[in-house]
Amino acid sequence: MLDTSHSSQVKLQRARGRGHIGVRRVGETVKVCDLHQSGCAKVMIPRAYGSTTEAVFLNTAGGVTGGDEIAFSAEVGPSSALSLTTQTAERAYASTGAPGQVSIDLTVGQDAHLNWLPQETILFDRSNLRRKTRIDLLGEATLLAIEIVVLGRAAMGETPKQFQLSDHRSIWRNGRPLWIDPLELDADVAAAAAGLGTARAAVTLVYVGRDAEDKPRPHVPGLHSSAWDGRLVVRGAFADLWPLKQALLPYLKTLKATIDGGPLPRVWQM
Amino acid sequence: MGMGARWGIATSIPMTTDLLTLTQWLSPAFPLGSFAYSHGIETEIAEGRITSADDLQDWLEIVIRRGTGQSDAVLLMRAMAGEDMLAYARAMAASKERSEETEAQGAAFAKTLGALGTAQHAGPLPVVVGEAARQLDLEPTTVAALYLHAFASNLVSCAVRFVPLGQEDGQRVLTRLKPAIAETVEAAKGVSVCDLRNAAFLSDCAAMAHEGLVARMFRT
Repeated sequence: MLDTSHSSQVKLQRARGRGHIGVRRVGETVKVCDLHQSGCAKVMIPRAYGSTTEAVFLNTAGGVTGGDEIAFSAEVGPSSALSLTTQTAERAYASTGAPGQVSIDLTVGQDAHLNWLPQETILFDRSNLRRKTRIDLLGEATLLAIEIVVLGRAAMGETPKQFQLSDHRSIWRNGRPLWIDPLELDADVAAAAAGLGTARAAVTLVYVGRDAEDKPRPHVPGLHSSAWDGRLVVRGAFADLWPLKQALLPYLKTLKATIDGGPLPRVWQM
Repeated sequence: MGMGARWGIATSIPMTTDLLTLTQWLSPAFPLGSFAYSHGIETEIAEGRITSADDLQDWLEIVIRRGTGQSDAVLLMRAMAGEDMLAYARAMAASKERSEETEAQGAAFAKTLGALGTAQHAGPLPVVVGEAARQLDLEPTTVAALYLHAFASNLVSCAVRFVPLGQEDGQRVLTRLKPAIAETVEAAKGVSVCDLRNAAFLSDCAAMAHEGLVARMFRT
């Protein structure tokens, strides 16, 4: 038998990365006014159309493992709009020791709108991911945000027997907490009936805006919704990513069209 | 002059009196209307996912240890320590009905306290109870433990009526939940509001799905 015990003692190269984009309105168009990228973090700008710009975050390390520190941020200037997504699924790989840390800090100016539509996060066996997403809205800014977490890759016959996820999402308006969703899962609690039960893919979507209660609601099995006090929240837990996307995408497309009239980012089109 | 001094009785009387006050606040007789709120359990029962005492216990263990139970314990203890938890408690509401559940009971609690001569503003229940408990000479863990016990006891009672379960089954579940309550409260000590967490994803889904239930006995 191969002795693999030394592998945990090897000092692994730890990934570091910082990516930032700032956009602001200039006349009738939204222009990139600030761009920074270092380490494994890249920010790509595939297109700008009319009043919305699209940007894509990419972690060139191909995933997150123990000790990694990756930070993405964006600032959307007043009366402008930005659609942000990620190039690929985020993969949380097996970690020894320290958790992999990811921070997402997004600020949306007065009367501006942000779509934060990252692709799914896949948790591999023995992964330990600690992610903090903080979105600050100023004045009457609006937001559409989504997070999808998948336990392993069912198509590959993988189910993580052990993992740690701390995925703290918070939305603030003018410095006051508006919505806090501090998801924290491990394999045991995920398997519990009130956790994720037998589901392996979970989605949380939130829209924040004065008109949240008038927005279309999903009417497909597995997606639940509630709207109150300037927010619409949609959640669902599915057997795997594929049925989740089948249920979610038509709704997401409809909802987004009522918000900014634009299509889903290219990476979201099935 | 207090009663204790009048009767010449030593200092443990205020604490006993405070414990009685807390017990009164958290008893089913205190008019919060808690019996109308199932915290999403009605969905699970209606859809056949909670059918036994064991199912109920598994569900409540997670809700207490990793869901509303632990976040309410933190909110209550931070509020009792003097911090302003109003906005955080409101931001933690998982759905419209969850928001109504905690706000309506918090308002009823404040109203009843007002009728008893103590001014207390309304808000989500754990915050209102935590703020009111500042006047009591009791450990925050004692207040949070009795609070969670009342929360669990009410949900057990919902299930006893609606599954239905025998009264003794219900009491057996509540007895088995004692470690969950005690450990949750102990773990909440010193936890800051930035470290709130939630793993009860399907409990939150159940609360949302409740809004669409056709026949409903409970308001949440």
